[in-house]
Amino acid sequence: MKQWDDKDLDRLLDRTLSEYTSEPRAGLEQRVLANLASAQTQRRRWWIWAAVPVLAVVLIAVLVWTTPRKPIEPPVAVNGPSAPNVTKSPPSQQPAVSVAAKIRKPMRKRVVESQVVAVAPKLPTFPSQSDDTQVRLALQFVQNNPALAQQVVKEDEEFQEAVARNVELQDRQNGSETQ
Amino acid sequence: MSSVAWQESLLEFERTAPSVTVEELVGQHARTVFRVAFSVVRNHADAEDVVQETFLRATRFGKLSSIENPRAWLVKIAWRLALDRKRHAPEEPLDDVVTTLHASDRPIDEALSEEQRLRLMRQLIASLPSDLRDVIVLSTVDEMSSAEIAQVLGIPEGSVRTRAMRARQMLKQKLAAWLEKKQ
Repeated sequence: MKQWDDKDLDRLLDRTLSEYTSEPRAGLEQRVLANLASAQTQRRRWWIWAAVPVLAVVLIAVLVWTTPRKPIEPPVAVNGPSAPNVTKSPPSQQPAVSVAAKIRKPMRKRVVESQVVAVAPKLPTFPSQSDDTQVRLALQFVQNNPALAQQVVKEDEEFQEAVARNVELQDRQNGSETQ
Repeated sequence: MSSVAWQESLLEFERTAPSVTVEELVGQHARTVFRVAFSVVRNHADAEDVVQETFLRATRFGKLSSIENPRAWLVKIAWRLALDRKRHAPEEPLDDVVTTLHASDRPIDEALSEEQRLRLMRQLIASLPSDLRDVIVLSTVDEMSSAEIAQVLGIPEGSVRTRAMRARQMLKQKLAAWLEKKQ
């Protein structure tokens, strides 16, 4: 085998290193661009699929928000005897309650109020029953017992006259005493 | 330079920098990127995969116009991807190289076929320390200047030249030692 000198080795290195690189197959740029385009399309598809659940949630939220709900009628305070008196104990007598219980308390009160409204519905005419009970009872009595009513009225007139006479008599007596 | 002045200069750079499209980047640098990848992975299919991945990452970056030296930037990406991809191939047998050298009286570069020379050189380069190996491998890519190699490897330009010389020297020594051993 031949003894290789320094020049031989240099030449080998130069030649080999110059051949060390390689050229790509034809159409590299087109393949790269096609791959990039397909990757971009896939990325867009990914965004579309990711956007679907988000859009669905938004749509449901909008539907829930815009759907007309049955209006909740506020409880009406009833004037009259049927409304129970809710006696509140002074705050000092109330037992100590937790924060959660404090929050829940108004809810219970609201339930009670709605029950009251259900028991005593508002009357269609004004004034309400509480204001004309006496008059209506009197009219009913006159309608059902006219003779008795006339007698009651007559006795009442006689009673009024007697009272008036008595008052007049007393006034005269007082006047004579002063003279 | 204050941070405000620095931000203003960056904005000015972005305004004045020429807009670069992906098509232009691919057209101008795909082949260089391929050669760099091939110098590491030594395989056409793997090198092309590295090129595809390099440009994919480049497009994901978005602000292409703000890249000062697109070629060095792309080469750097490709270099790292290629190193990640490179598998430690088993040592190739060089028995036929020895036989050829024994049988021939011609100079060594003429005695060996191209394939034999490359196989021999791959083994010698693989046995170099990594800092020397990186420089010699990148310097085999014709388009890469010392400045660009320095940018890719993150070392001073002067170190590139020094390391290239040392690598070449070491390759020669290894080759001589190998030939002596085989005699």
